[in-house]
Amino acid sequence: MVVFQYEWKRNQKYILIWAAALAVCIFCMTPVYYGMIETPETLSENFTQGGFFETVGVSLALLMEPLGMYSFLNAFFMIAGGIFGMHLGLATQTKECTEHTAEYLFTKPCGRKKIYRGKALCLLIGIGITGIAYLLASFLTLALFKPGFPLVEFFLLAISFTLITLFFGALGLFWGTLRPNNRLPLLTAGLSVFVAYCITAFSRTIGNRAISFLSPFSFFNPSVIHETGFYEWSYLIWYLLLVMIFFLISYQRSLKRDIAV
Amino acid sequence: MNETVILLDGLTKSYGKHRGIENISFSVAQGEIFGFIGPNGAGKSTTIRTLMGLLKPTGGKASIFGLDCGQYAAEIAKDVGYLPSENCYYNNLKVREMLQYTADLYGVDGRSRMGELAERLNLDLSRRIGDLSLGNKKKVGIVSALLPAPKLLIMDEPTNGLDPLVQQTFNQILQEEKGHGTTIFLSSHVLSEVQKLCDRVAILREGKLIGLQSMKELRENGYKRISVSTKEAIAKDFFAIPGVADLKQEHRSASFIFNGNAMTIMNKLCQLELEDILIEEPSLEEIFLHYYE
Repeated sequence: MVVFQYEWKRNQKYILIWAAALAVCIFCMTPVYYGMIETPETLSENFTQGGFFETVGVSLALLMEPLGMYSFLNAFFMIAGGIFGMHLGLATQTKECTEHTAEYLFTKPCGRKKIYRGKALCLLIGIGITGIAYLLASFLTLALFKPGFPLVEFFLLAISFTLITLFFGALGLFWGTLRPNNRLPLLTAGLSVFVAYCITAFSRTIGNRAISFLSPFSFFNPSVIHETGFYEWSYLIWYLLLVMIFFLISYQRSLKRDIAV
Repeated sequence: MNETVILLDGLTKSYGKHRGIENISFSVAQGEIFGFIGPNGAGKSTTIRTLMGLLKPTGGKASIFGLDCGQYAAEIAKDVGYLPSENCYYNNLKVREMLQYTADLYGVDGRSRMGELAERLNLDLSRRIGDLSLGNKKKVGIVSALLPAPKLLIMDEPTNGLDPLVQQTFNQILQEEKGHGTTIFLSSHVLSEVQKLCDRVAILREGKLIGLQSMKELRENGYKRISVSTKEAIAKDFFAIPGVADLKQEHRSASFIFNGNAMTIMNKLCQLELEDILIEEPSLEEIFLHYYE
């Protein structure tokens, strides 16, 4: 727990700022966007004709549903969540190297297993706190400005945000153990999430399902959630498999690798 | 015979194209102050980092307290205080918080020892690490290494950045630690430091061990610095005999290190019409440089 406590202390401000910022943004933006679609006529023609909403997994029919605009906004917040998760995951591994503290920490009696566990726990708790803040702020804003929405569907949509954050957090951890001397973790996280987002948009535009398995943004399609009441099982299993692989490989690698100082 | 604390057996670490260390073998006994010397880039830090379990060896073995350094790094670390060559502390923490973190990681209550060592080394515990000078950061490292009262101290270039007064205090602390039975392994390229403190020394060059001797042996192993001045000119190749090194010869004077049969050099010197002669023990620096020729 000692490693976790100090790791938490080191990242606590960063995590809480992200959690608060995302919660405030979703709380404030949701009523604004719902205001834009009081009537279908108010929607920009460019949006309706360009298939813009389809690229984020929201059909025009879904957009007019109680959770339609929330799903649309959620797609963008998932990008922010992905960047946060991947940056945090990367930073927990790369900070020791880039700030030259690895030689201190890795020569103490806690050992590599405990160091990895402490850092992974910090990542998971950080993602958990951000997810809870996001879920509560989403619920509050919808309850205030769009009451009567289906709770289970809302829950699945809001949890998608946390699942995406977790996916990129695990990817960050994995990438951080492979490249611990990465000095630009935020840029790496931003680019990785942007590329993943583009892959999903591309796969939806051309209708290629195989490509969609390459990006986690495809795994939690709001239209599918709306229609079936759950996530697609094939995507969910693939998601769990990938997250487990990321954690397992990063764990094994962090036990065996040379510590770059 | 004292118990072996550190044992290196054919230890090798290579980094592909870059040179690491090759086939290093020696042992350090309990209670010894062991010096590890060599110029920058000789492989001292690589050897130490392999001992600390940071690097996985590509060949051979390294063990501390009879335990393999790679496999049991965490267990070994319980009894080892380590001072890295570079300052590697959390800049956003205050000195007291940083040292408390060390105490927490070792599971010891180090408050009184922290206070005592900080006072002796004149270290302000309330300052932020990031605001400290190089020398003060080094002091943090020294206190951090000594805090858990370890059985073995491994120190990589420990006095780098310390002023002479603090160096003196540091040397006293090390002698006290030795008095308590602590084994000390320190690397340095400052030979006077090694000369003052160490019982034995290993000399490293280009990743290979080229010498392993006690300080006494190193100084008494026949090495003499001989300086002569003569009434007549000395022939150019007069001292071209085995055992002569570091020869500096002018018209009527010469200075060199000699290692060999005393009668050979005395007979040679008798052939000269000497004006003055000085035979002294060479400094470790001179012996060391001789190794590097």
